[in-house]
Amino acid sequence: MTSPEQLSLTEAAAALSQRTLSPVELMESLLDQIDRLDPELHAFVTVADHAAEDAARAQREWESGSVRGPLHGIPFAAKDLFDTAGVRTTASSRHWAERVPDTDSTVVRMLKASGMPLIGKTATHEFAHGATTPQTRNPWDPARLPGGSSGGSAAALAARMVPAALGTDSGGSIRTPSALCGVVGIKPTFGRVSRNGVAPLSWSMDHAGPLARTVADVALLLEAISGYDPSDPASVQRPADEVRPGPASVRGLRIGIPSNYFGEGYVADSVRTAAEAAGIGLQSEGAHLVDIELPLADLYEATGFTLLSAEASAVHAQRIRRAPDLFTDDVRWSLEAGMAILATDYISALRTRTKIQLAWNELMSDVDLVLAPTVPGSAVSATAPVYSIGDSIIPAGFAYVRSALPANLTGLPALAVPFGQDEGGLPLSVQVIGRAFDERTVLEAGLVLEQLAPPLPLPDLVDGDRP
Amino acid sequence: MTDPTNSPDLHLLELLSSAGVADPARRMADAPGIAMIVGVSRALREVELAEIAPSSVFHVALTR
Repeated sequence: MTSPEQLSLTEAAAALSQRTLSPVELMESLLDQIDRLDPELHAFVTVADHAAEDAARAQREWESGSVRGPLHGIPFAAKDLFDTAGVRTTASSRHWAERVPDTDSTVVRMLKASGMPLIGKTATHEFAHGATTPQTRNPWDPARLPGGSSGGSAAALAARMVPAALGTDSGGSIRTPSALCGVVGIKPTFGRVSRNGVAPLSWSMDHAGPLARTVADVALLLEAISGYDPSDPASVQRPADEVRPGPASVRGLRIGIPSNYFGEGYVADSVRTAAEAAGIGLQSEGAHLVDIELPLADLYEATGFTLLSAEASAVHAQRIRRAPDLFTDDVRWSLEAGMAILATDYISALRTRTKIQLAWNELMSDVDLVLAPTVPGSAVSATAPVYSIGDSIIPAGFAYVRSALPANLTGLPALAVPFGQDEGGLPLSVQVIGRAFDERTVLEAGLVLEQLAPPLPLPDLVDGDRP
Repeated sequence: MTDPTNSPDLHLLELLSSAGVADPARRMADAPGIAMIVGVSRALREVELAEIAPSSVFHVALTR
């Protein structure tokens, strides 16, 4: 029998339903895995004191027939940006080292209402202001980084410490670590999922969303956390169940393959080969591939980095003035840079983003989906976090945000799905970008890609050290 | 009149200082990326935006 911590969310739900597994057994197995692997990986900031107790409560509810749905009894982890009542929420920052919120963020409350016990809080690049999560290690190779900023969530999933996790994505922070750790993550459409109670990075670009190990798993989680929340000014009224995918299919869909932006000089050969194979696979399943040019692509970096920097610096302005040295160096430098962006330039960035959104609306009237690499390469070394592509040396953090920006600027839904491994065995990934509020089609394509992709083995760390 | 914010480091120092950043000269020496990020934002000054009304970008705030 498969050990409980190895089960995906959907598999665990089935085992719970068949009474071949109990919520307590599942929680114990995951806590053991955290004890075994987290001293090396540092995926967790805090393991919840009451995790075992909450699992026992879920088990009593199972036994009494008070089951709230398919997620009942399955533990989840939340990135340490999400407020959790009574559980320390640090944003991986010394500024918040001992902060304990009184209330849950909206999406944590929604998952708990689905019967999911919180197992703990996962590491983030400080205040989500970075894309590498340097304090955490990648389960595929602990000498490498997991990506970020939701690096702890993705590492915990890959290391089988948890089957479900929450992350945030302002410049790829769900998709990037998902790609580098070989798991699945979706950035929903802007407004689909509440950010209430989540520490902001860039309020006009921030999205909250789920990570898990399969597309079906993230679909279940996304439905559970979708819905209007008046506490988030960006929240919209949309039915949660409209995200639920039907059968895996891309038949008849028009899928755009960008000829620019993700081209030579920005993407490693292994990634380009994987993305091409993904496209050919989708074509073999009945999709029509369409060559497209991403509109106004020369403006993505300037617009995205201006918005991210200016808004993040506004969020942290008092901390930068009063206690700058409590920030880690890279975050402090970036926040200080944002302090020098003029208001008029920030407003130009807002207007430029609208121009980009209008151009993408036109693009997406011609295609159903866009398929592209999620990140430009596989996970980088913790001691030299750069990519050498062609003649260029590109800092990893910049490269990750750049690849993610089209979906953050437009607010369109984007799913990262593992697709193959590089010559060193590290996972590769593609992203599927869809029309606004059409997560269903994005997820259905993701299901197809999952079937087409060669199955990922367990990371050696997870498999090889097993007693 | 030249645009002072398009001028080099002296003006960036003044900007950082007026924003309340402590010891801006040392910060700039530590982090040349500061000038890069600010430079990126200035690149947007060349974008043609006549068709995008400034008020349109506050759509979300105005409809709640």
